Amino acid sequence: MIKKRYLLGLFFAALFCSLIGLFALGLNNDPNKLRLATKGNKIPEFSLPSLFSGELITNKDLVSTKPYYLINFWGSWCPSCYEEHPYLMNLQRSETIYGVNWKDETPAAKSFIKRGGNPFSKIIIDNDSTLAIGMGVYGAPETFLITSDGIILHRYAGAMNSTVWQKEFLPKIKQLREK
Amino acid sequence: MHFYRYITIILMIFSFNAFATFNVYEFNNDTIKEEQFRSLIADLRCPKCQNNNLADSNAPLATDIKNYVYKSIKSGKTDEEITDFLISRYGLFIIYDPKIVWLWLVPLLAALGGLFVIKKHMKKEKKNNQPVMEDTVTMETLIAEYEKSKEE
Repeated sequence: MIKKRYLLGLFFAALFCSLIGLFALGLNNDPNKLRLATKGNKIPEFSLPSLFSGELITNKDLVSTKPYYLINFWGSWCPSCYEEHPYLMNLQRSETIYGVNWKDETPAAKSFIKRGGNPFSKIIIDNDSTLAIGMGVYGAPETFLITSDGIILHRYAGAMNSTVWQKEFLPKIKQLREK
Repeated sequence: MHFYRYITIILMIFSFNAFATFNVYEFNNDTIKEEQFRSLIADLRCPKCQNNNLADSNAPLATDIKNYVYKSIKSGKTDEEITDFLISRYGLFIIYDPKIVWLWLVPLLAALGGLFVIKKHMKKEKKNNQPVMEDTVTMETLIAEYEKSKEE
C-alpha cells in the first residue's frame, strides 16, 4: 500500500518536473523566430514578373551550376536589407543568389539596386506574397538555401554577414556536397 | 474651449475614414461564407506579430494571408483545407488552438494529481490529530489542585 502511494507520488512529481522543464526550455525560444515549416518541401510553383525586364519568371527558371542556390527576400523598405546588401554583393561572386523583391514599390526597388549594385541573378517581384506565403516567409530579409532540384533546406531570418554564412550555411552546403 | 471642440470634430471625421477601411471583403450576402471568413481570421495568428490574430493585425503580410483566406473561401475551400495549408507554411504558430491533446491534458492531470496528494495528506493529518486528551491534565486542574493543597 505504502509502495503504491509512493509510486503515485513519484509519478506526479515526475509529471510536474517535466512540465517545469518544458516551460524552462520554452523560455529559451526566441518568439521572434519562427521554425521553418517548409523545410524539405519543394519551392512552390510560381510565375511572377521580373523587376527590370517585366518578363515572367517561373520556378523552373531558378537554376544553378552548383548543387544549390540561394533565394533572398528583400525590400527597399527594410533597414536590415541595406545592412546586408554589401555582403550579398561580395557573396554573389561565388554563389548564385535569386532576389525576391517583396511588397515593395517598383521605382524604390529599382533605385535600391541602382545605388547598391545588383547581387541577384534574377529579381522576382512578389507584391501579393504569393511566393512569400508559399515558402513561409514572415519578414525581410530572409535567405533560403535551396538544392538545385528545388528542395528548401534552410532559412535564415535576418541580415546576412560572413559569420551567418559560415555558421548557418556552410555546414549545410558541406553536408549537401558530401551526399 | 472652442479649439478642443474643433479638434474633436476633425478627429471624428478622420476616424470615420479609418472605419471605412474595414469590410473590404465582399461576400454578396452569403452569410455562411462571411461567418466562415470572420471566424477563421479570428482563429489564425499573424506570423509577423507576437500576439495578434489576422483580424486585428494591419501588418502587410497579415493582409495578404487574409486575402488568401478570402479567395480560398470564395473558391469553396473548407476551414480544414485552409488551416492545413497555412500550418504547412508557418507551422503550428499560425493557429491559436494547437490541436495537441496532451498539451491540454498534462496540466489538468498534474493539477488533479496535486489535489489528490493534498487530499490524502490532509486525511493523514486528521488521523494523526485525533484527541488524545483523556489521560492528560489541563493547566487549570493543576492550578486548582495546587491551590487546594495550599489551603490544606
